[in-house]
Amino acid sequence: MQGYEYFDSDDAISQVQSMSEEDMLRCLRAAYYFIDKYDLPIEGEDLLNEAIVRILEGKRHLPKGVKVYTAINQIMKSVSYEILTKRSDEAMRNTSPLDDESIAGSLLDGYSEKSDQRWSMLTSLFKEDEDASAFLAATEQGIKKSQIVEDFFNGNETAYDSMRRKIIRKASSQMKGSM
Amino acid sequence: MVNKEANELLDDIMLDKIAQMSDKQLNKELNHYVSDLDVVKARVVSRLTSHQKPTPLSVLQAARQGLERQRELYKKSTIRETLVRKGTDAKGMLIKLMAQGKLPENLTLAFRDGEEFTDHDAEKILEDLVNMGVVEIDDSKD
Repeated sequence: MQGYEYFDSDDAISQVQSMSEEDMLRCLRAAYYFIDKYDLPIEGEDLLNEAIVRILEGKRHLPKGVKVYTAINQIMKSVSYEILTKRSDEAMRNTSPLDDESIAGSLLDGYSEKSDQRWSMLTSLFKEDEDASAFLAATEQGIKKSQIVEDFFNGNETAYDSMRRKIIRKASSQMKGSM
Repeated sequence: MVNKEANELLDDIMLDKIAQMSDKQLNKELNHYVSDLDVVKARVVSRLTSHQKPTPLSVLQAARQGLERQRELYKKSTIRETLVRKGTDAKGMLIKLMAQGKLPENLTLAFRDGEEFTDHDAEKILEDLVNMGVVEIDDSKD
């Protein structure tokens, strides 16, 4: 990640080990969010442990100025994507070419339906906000960040980040349920 | 289906929601996932505190790696010494081995096709052939 300074490995270890119990619970809750979302065949503590091991082994780094649990949650997110991709690849390898599409589809269907519902909730939450709606529409269309920055924010990346943060803050406090 | 960027935005919203949860709420939600949260908490804390920075190589591992390095160096120097003793170089040795039909077919074909080999390439090939047990350095004896 550009623009960040990182803890060296000794400091990273002490940062991780000095996490409060509440922060540790935040990580555990986030782990179960990913496990639920992607139907991962592991326990929350194992996903959390994997993220921590990667930090301790120096495979992932802790950025300074970012809360430790935030960094760990981001690592768990990428570990979850990895597991999902591996499962999808394995399913593909163990099927005939004719089955590929349905197997891949069945692995993704479970969470894509939920994600579609959440996305609808999100867009309806910002329907009165023209800028946020335009941002979400562009994201939904798969327009790349660089293009959105150029088209909507006159090349100002900070404005893009602020808009994204604004959407996250409002949505996280107003969207109901555990998503 | 939402695309990757949209999916990441939804994930970040949920992570932010979790970041704002109180201790009480976290405990309540986690109790849906685990049968005994206290046991899980204790296990996570124990794992956290027991994690150490990966230790440097153990004495045994370091010794083993040192031995391997020595063995490699010895092999190289033995090949070179043998070549010097025989008054030839790696390229010359490969040509002799080819003439004796002791080189793998693909290598023989490459030689016949006139592919260029530097001395360094030839030395590396010879070293690999010896290491793989395809030829012995004394194979070149007439």
